[in-house]
Amino acid sequence: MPTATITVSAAASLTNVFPAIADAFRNKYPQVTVKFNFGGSSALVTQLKAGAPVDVLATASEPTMWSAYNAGLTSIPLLIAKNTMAIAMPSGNPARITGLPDLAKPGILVGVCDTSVPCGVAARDLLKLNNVTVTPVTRELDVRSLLGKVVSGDLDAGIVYTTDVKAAGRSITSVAIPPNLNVTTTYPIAAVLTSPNSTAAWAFVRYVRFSLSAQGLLRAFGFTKPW
Amino acid sequence: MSVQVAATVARGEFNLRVDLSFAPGEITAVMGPNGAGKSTLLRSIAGLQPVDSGHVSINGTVVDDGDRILIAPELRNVGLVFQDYALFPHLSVLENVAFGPRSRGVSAGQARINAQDLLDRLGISELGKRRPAAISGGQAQRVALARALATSPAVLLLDEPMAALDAESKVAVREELHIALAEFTGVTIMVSHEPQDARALASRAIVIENGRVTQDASLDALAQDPATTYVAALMRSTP
Amino acid sequence: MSRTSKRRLRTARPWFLLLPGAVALTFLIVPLIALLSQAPWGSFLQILSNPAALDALRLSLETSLMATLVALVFGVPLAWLLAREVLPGTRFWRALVLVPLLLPPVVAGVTLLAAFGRRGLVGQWLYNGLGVQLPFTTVGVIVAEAFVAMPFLIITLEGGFRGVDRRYEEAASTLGASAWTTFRRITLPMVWPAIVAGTVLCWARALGEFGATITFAGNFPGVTQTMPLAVYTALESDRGVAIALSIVLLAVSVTVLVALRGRYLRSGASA
Repeated sequence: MPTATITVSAAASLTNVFPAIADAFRNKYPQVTVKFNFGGSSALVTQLKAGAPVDVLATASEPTMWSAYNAGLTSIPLLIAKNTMAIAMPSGNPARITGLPDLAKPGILVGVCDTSVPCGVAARDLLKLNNVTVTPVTRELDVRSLLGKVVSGDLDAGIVYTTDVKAAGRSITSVAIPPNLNVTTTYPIAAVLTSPNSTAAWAFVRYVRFSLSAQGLLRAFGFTKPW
Repeated sequence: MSVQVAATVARGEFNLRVDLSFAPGEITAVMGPNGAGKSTLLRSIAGLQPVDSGHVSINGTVVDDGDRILIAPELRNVGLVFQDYALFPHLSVLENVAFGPRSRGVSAGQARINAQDLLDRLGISELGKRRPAAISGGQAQRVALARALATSPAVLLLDEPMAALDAESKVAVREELHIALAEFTGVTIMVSHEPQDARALASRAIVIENGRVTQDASLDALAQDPATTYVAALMRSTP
Repeated sequence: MSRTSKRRLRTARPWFLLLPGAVALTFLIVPLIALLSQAPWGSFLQILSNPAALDALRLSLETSLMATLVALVFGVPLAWLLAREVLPGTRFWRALVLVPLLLPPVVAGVTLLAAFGRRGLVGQWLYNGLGVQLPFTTVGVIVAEAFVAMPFLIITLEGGFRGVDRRYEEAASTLGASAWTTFRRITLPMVWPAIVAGTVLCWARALGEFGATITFAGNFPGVTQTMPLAVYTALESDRGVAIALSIVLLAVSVTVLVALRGRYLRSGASA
């Protein structure tokens, strides 16, 4: 394994778990340094299409990854994790939210992600699946900002990923959604074909998908099995 | 109508300390070296410089007692002609002259009529529509005088009225000033460092050196019996 | 044509100024040209007739104008106070006024939330006491835009006020003008060029504001999604739409600036 520095473009919802995986990866391959570029999945693909020097791409939805793959930019992707949705409320749950139907009550300030990002698509599908009509007060462009506004108490509720709920810990209260009524998003990862560090890039991709350490970490952060 | 200044004004390096009275109809020239405190005296009377102790009275009313009483310039009815005239550059000459009366509540139309009248009396009737940037120094001086006179002040203060003029204009303007001031019935105090101006216009001269009055008499007395070497040199330098 | 008109003094166009100046000009213009070249001209009208796009444009114009108005009403007096050094510790206040200029816009949005969010320092009183909430409202957009844009106005105007010789104000007061009359008829007209320049700068900054707006006011079409937010949102899904909207925003700004350029901006902040 040659000494290399690889840049990984990863979806915003991987912001907490990927650096932990990178630390474990470093233990196995000390000569490889991993740098991260987190953002909305579509923005990451746009950057890649515009020629950004990225070695690995990990998105929060399959359609965004396929868009990069069909443009000939990446190898065939591997699925590394799944995520489900949950409702996050400010600690103390001042608006007394107990489930999705409560979000439709008048006067409740609900935030979702914009449908141009995977989290927003999932939220839309979730509400549709559960037959709940909600008029959000904001459509955030990434789930971190959405979560921030829940934590600060400016929103009564936000539809976020289960992993976000786990990461936020005590700063929020949450309501889980039963699996049969929940929407799943899948995270694919792929090596970028134009990368000059393909050995290291591939090593990272395989590590995330197949190593016990990486999958264990993903589980610990709230992701579920990709299969 | 009279003015009394018996006050002290701190001025950085030294104090101005005077005890002076001025009578209506009297034209007093205030002379002295630069920085002696002449302009400070004018500004104290106008209300632009509060005194530190003592008092300033106009027509028997205390306008500044060095303590609680300090009447703002806009309420003092004092006209001040600045050294470089300070004509409002964005207003026409006519509007400049009409400014004072208009600020005191006179209707715009009436103020403009009175302003034109003043311009006529000072021999600059045709300048009404021009901007201050488009008139000569001598003309600007007369506009500044008209502007100060327009409010019928009780006191007229002139700060180095001829300083900004060239020698030729000075002669003409001195004449005009003489005529205009002769008609004015209030107190006139004129700061100048040129005894020619004093001779042409004033009946009384006060010399201030280092913040103190060193002589206060008629101009002849200053010439014949100068109180200090400065006064002697000053009066000698004139033809 | 005579020979003299063809010859020019060397000093009128020195090469060591022309060259870097030309580089600067190119640097600023090339991205604009690139934008125009990549625009989806074919579907331009279709994109613009989308109600979301028109909503965003309308919202941008309304909020930026309101923010500028707010900046004028409160910023002109503050600029005067700073210029005349009326407040104790003027230097400190002047530095403080500059802070929104230095903050990254998103950080500015975060500070606004800390102040005016539902649990914010002032916001909690507004919410618990009056039921008033600024985030997620159009008023919140105006607050965010005014916060980042007002310093531009204040700085420009302070310079203008300083340039007004106090003697004019003194002359006005000796003539009998009250403080208000002096300010209205003498001081303000004399700083008019600075007011115009400052207002234009302020408005342009408010129009282009993104980070503070989305962080404080959120992103919802018709309510808080101004043009810059619409562009950024479109960027996630359809780059062509993003470019089209950007060009519209650019066109509006350039039109206003060109319209004012000849008459006012040339004299800048000088009285």
